[in-house]
Amino acid sequence: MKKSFSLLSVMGAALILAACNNTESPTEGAESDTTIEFFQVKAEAVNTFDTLIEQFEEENPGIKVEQNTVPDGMTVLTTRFSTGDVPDLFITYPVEQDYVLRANNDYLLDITDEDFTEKINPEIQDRYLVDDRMYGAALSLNANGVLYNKTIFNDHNLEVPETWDGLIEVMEELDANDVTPVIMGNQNVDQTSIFNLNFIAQQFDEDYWERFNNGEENVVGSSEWEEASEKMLEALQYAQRDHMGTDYDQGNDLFANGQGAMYFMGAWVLPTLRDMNDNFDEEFGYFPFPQTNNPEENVTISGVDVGLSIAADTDHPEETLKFVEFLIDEAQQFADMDGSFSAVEGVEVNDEVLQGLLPHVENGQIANWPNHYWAGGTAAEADFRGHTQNFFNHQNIDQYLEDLENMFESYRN
Amino acid sequence: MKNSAYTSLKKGYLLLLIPGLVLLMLFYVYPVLSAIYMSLTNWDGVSRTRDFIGISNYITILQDNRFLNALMFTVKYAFVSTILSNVIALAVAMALVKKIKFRNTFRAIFFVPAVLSLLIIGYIWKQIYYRVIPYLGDRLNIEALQMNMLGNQDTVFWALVVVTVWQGAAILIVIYMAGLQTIPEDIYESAAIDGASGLKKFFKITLPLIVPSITICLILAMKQHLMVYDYIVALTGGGPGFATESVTLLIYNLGFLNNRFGYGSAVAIVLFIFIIVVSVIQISILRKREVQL
Repeated sequence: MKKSFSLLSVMGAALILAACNNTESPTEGAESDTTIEFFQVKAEAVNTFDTLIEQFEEENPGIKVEQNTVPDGMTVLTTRFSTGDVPDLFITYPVEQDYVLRANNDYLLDITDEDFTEKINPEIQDRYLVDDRMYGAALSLNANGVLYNKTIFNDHNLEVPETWDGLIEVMEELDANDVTPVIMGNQNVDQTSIFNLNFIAQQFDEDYWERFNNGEENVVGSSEWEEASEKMLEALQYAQRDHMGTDYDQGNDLFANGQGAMYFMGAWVLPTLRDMNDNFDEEFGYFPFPQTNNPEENVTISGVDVGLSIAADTDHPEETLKFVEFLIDEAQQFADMDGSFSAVEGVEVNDEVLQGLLPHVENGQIANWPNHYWAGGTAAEADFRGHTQNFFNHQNIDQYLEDLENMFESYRN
Repeated sequence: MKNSAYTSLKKGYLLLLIPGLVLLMLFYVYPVLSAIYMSLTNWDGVSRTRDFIGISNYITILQDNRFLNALMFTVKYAFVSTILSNVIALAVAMALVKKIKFRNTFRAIFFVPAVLSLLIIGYIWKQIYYRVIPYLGDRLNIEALQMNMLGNQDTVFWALVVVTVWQGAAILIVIYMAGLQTIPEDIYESAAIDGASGLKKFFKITLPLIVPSITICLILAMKQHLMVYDYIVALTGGGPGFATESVTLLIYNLGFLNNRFGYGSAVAIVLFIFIIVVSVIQISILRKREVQL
């Protein structure tokens, strides 16, 4: 007994010593190494970034990039801002109130004069302007459209619809043939806005939101809002029966396995669906969301997906800037791996499924996420989703518009 | 002489309190005080400056429909879950103190939910609501069961209560079993000789004698359910709509999502006071009914 105890204590001491040694060795061996923390919120892009970081570290000995991805990343990032523990490099979306607030409080490094900003599509990059200065660099764009199951469309001799009435006809036809026309995962609040912001984005442009935020426009009594709500309800009828009880993961699973013909979804889901179905690229296609009966008026929502900002008080501004520049230079590689549109000029879209949305992107028939213009930023967006989910349940348009009116009113100053 | 030895001893004991006191100050008193201070400001969680705005956050709370909605939900949920979990726990405990077959196995089974991580419980029940119950509904042709109960505003409340009671009763069963085992068998025997029925024995002997356990269980359960957060995050995220947004989830949303740290702190303080008041009322009612053996 006594012997084993002393043996244990020796082992314990050895362990503690070993632990001490362990914590010391990296600082000892790599005195010249600089470590940058890269906080990124896109779980689908972890592997892509790992590959690029490896290349960067090889080219730049002495600089280490540590990728940090956590669930619910945007919230965690907000928390870290509130405690002053800002990562060296992180993802930020332009225009949004959160971005403006951070820029105005001097949390973000001014990158207006960096050369790499000139390689980015100016129309996109200018969204980062706050008082004529830029505090972020756009790397890639997301896009939101309609994914469809080619096999099901072929089996029922259906063409890709280009108008709203055409979409309804297709859904009607599928429904009559006992095929679920569209999969929705409305149990997750954020899924509701991926669907319904399509209508909002088509109805209203940037100027509208400025007037709206000033209280010059109302939700109640607006025919545009009413029309958008009616279309939401109309499409909702064609979702699978328990769409309110299906969440994002379950929705992906149903769609990837052929349980429904269409999926109103953003391009960020492509890597996930490819993981779920090996034949994804052959069996599935993409087309722009047809909000109206005039194909020229329809828009594809496309916002900055990966946009990078640097902390103003980072200890390693030069190294961090170097990494951002590297990512912009490798935009083609990133786009190929990530399957997204690039914000960087001259990058080609090689993703087969994504080609379906390309005509809109090339014609400039794109609109930014409308919620990025709202007073109240992420908060207003979250509330909007909650009210929408509520609306999908009670299906009362007047009630919905009144809820939205009160909600927006509470964010106007 | 004797006296001074006693006081010096007493001083020595007081010294032993210091580490505990420091920890209490650091992790309890300081956060509460800073939350009170924060609740009097308009801090958004990002700005480097904050303005002192007095009690206006508290005035806003009174007019905030979303807070009222969250409070109504939380109170209703806490009340229903507390009553149900205690009734069920007491019934199970009474069965498990009897000399039945496989008693220890049953005890172990009933205790399992108490040691599982709440997140795992959330995922298990999510699957049950998404797959198992609708499957049974299809098979048995009961329409009410065919949809995921978590997606419907009318059923989601009860779906949450079921999970809460299933998990929450486990620890209460243990406390009730301990209480029941302190009741001497001879009281029941003499009652039986006097001709008391089973129901009468329960209301006249068992219930009065386990009031101390009931006090503990009711207060524990009520406090836990008023602060419900984990089940909601794992199962519904506050939805559909705002149907299951509890006060704690609202505080989190206000602070970390809506950039309203000051206002969120004010709501937290209100919840803090509310729980204290409820607990004090509970204790004062239940203490009166306790019977000493």
